[in-house]
Parts: sequence; structure tokens; C-alpha cells
Amino acid sequence: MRFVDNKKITGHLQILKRFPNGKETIVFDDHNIIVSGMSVGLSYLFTASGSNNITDYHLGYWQAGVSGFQSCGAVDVSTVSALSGPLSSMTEYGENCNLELVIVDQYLGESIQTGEVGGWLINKVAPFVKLPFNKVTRINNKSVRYTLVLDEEAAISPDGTVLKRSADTDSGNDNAVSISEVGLFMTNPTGAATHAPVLCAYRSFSGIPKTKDFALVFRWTLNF
Amino acid sequence: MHGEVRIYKNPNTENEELIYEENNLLVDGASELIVDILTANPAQDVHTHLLDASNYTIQAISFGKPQSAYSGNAHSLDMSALVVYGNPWGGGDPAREISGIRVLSSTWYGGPSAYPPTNSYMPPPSPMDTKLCESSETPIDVATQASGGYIGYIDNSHGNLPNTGPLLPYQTTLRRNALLKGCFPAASGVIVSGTNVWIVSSVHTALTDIKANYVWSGQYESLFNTVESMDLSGFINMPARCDNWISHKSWGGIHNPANDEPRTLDTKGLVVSAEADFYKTGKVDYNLYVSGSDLGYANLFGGIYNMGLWSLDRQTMLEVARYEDNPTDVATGIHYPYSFYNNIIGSYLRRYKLFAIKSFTKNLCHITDDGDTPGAMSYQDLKIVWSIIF
Repeated sequence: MRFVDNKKITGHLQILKRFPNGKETIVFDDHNIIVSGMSVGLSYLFTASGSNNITDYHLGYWQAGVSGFQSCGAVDVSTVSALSGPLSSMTEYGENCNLELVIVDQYLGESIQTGEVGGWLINKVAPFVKLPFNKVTRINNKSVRYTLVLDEEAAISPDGTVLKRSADTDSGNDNAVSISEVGLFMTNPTGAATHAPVLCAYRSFSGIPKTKDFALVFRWTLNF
Repeated sequence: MHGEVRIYKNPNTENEELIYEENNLLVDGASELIVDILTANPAQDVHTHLLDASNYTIQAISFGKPQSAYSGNAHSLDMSALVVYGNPWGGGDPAREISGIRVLSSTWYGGPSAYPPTNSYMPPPSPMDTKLCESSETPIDVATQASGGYIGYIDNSHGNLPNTGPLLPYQTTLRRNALLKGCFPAASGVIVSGTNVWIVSSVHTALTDIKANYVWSGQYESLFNTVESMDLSGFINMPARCDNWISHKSWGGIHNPANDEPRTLDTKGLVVSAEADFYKTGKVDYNLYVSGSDLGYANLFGGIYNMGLWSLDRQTMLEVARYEDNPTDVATGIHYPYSFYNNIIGSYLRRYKLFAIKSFTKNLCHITDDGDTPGAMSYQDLKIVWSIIF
């Protein structure tokens, strides 16, 4: 029995390494952060100001990032509206990965920041991964589970090792980066002509070096 | 996510005054609605409009009271009058005469005309509530069921204060029985104008005038029924969603739109509104204008002790076709667009799911006499603003 008169939306994130032999290892298991974008999306729906199609209010996109935990500016608070360092190009997600990637505008409050295809980051716009509806599970009348998968070929260097980024253009030295943040986005609550996702749930975590030896599975459960 | 309820008197005037402000209770139906939103199957046929976002929003508001109030107060019908006399309202329009057969004991007369309803304990709301009270079944339901009579479709299962209209003139039986259930008077109009009310010390035994022992009489005109915002089961809908607004109002000359007083939009039903920066605050307001006449009439039936915000129960609507003309038509289901006039024979029916509930410790219709001024004639309009902050 709950004796409070409000309804707190919560979430729980479990991250697993799934190996080709089927074995799984849990590497992260903790709550998530429901950010203010969830409020933005629902208020667009209930004021009838946004999209007329209910599927635009699905959490239909997600992003993985590499600077959530390491970045000194990154904190897990409800005002987070974007990942600190999302994988910034199709190449970073991996040319051979089994993910459907799209580059669309991200809704960031009062304006929509735009970018361009090709991986060059403008105004923090990066590719989004489409979340197939068959990865959405209604657990009961209060809970929904999302299963996000970075498969073996995703988020790795072309040689199969940990993804590297050019850290210093002067020295030319590349730094290995780890997956350290993830975000779930509402598809297009504003009803924009092209999808403008809104960040609704976020979590940073200790970096997980991703290689081709395993897939990274995010089991994300939201409770209402 | 939470909600707040504010109630104003003298609405939409310079003397508008906040008289009540409290939090509401979001029930489990709110959780279920959001899960429905996030898991709506995109493979549904777009031609059925089942993926229309409006199917997943707040669609109605209703009022309730303790269950004991449905078997007392003005619901305490004199069964002998109904059964023996058959048609105690004679050949007149039942909308104007029906209140005369209410059995009112001497306890009704506490001064000129201030009636304190006699209700039992109102249980506190629970997050698991799915209705305003267990049932709104009244003595007229029992009487007509026992005699094999047909009361038409009024859904008692939500515990709402049921309504008397809107109904068309040819629906005499349905209209009469709806009036016996209460709890809101007839509309103002050209031919029919409100419902007459007699507060009697006892029912007169003479067949010709059972209301002879009245101590006070008056007339109430329902705003809800004048603007046709409330269905028979007591759900007040959004005016922008009403089907056939103009054609229905002019049907048979019962209502003449030209005679309607100018009203603001929020007097015509449940209105959703928000500030321009709603995406920053997450605040959505649901506004409802309640006329003093509706409050006064509802008080005779036991008053108002809680109210609910409702979304559509699409699952039930799709699974169960309770089509009055064809009760066996379960395969057809209830299809979009869902008709607002869901209690009229031959139309499809809506189903609702409770989203939030607000209980009052004091009767919202409570009033006292002011000297010689009858309390029953002193009701003022109220404006209810129910905010949901996401």
C-alpha cells in the first residue's frame, strides 16, 4: 500500500555482457534517472499539443555514450537532456553492427539542435539507435522493460578491439574509450515533421571496454 | 507526477476567489495508462484510428458520493407510488414533474430549505481505486429490475452521480427512469426548462397530487444538460469532442442554441488547458464550470463527496460491445470515433478508466440558510481546476 499522493516514476538498469556461448555476466545493476524529458513528452500528449500518433510517444530511440562517468561535468540528475559523449558517428557504432541507426534532430527544450549525416558532430547531435518494438516488454500494468543490445560488432574499432577516439589532434594519439552512459529517448512527442527525440531516462556507469568478444545488453525496466 | 485541485467561487469574474486547494490521489489506473501509451502496438490498423493519441488522454470527469447516499436522500423513492399508481407524473413532461414523487421525511426541513444529506461514512481513497464508490445502484434500479422494466443503459459500476440527460423527446421511458435516478436536473430550454423540486414533509396519499404536503418548492436548471456535456452515467466530457453538437441541440426544438446565453468555453464541459511553457512545467490543467443549480439539485440526492478524472478504457471498449440495439454483437466491438452520446439507443458506448481521484471531507454542495433566504436557492457557480503535473 502506498500512502503518498504522488506517483513517482522510477527505473532500473541492468547491464550484462553476453558471450557467444550464451553465458551472461552482470556488470551493472542499479537504478536509473528519469529526466525531465519524460515530463516534456507526457505534457505534450496530455495537452494535445504534440503528435497525433501514439507511437510517437514510445521510447523508440536510444544512445550509448563514452564520457558519462569520466567527464567531471557529468552528473546523474533529472535535468540531464542529452548524453555527455554519445557515440558520434555511424562508424563508432560499427559498420558491421546489427543496429538501425538514424540521424535525426534532438529536441532540447526550446529549440531543436540539428546535425548532419557523416558523423561530424554539430551541436551535440549524434546517431540514434532505433529500438524495435519487439524489444519492448509489458511486464505488468505498471512496468515496461526495454532490451537494448550493442552486439558483438557494435562500438568497437575496426580491428575488433576497444573503440578509440582521437584525443589530441596535435599528437595524433588515439585513446581507447569505454561505454559509460546510456539514454532512452521518446520518439517524437512534439510531432515534428522529422523525428525529434527527447531524452527520458539516463544512466552513467563505470566504463565498460567493449570488444567483439561479447555483446552488451541493457535491460532497462521503467516502473510507473 | 502528482495532481492538485483548486476550486474557485464567482468564476470568470473580477471577484473570483480561491476557496479550496489540495492535492489529489493518482490511482493505479494512471500507471496503467502510461504503460498503455508506451506499449501501444504500432501494428494496429491505422484505419481504425486506434493509434490516435487522443485515445490515451484524460477524457472525462465525474462526481461521486458514499454508497449509502444512493439508497437514501432523494433516491428514497416511494415504491408504492411507482408501482401502484403506475404513472404518478401523469401526462406531463417527466422532466418537470418527477421530483414531486420524492419521499422526503421531516428531516428534510431544517429551516427554510437547507438540506443536510444523510450519508454514512465515506471511506478514504486508495491508490487501488478503480471507481468512485462500489456501485451507484439506486432504488429505481431495483424496482424496475424486479418488475421487468427497462431502465435503459446507465452504467452504475463507476459509482458516479448519474444524470437525467441528455436525451431526446421520443425516449420517454429512458428519460423518465433516468430522472428517477437523479442527480442533475433537466436543461434550460424553450419547451422544457429545468426540473421542479418540491420538498415535502410527507408524500400525500391522494393520487392526483402526491406533492401536496410540500414546504418549499423551486426549480433547478442544469448547466451540464443545457450544454450537453454529461452523459447518463455521469461522465462530463470535453466539448471539443462532442459529436453532432449542433444537430443534436436543435433536435425536435427541445433546445434552441439561439437562446443559449453566451458562455466561455470552460462552461461547456471539461476543458484542457496549459500555459505556453507547459513543456517546462509539465503542468496540464483540466477546467470545469459547475453551476449552482447543478450543485443544489445534486445536494438533494446526497451531495458530492469525491470526483474522478478518467481516461478511455480502450481494452474494454474493444473487447465488449454493449450495443443496446444488438446485445449479441460482440464481434463488432466499439469503434473509433467513439460517440459521446453513448447512452442513446443505437449508439456505441464508451468505457472509462479512473486516472485520479479527489475526495472531500465536506460535501461540496453544503449550504446553510441565510436568515429567511432559503439555502437551496443560494447556490453559486464554482470553477474546478484540476492540475496534473507530469
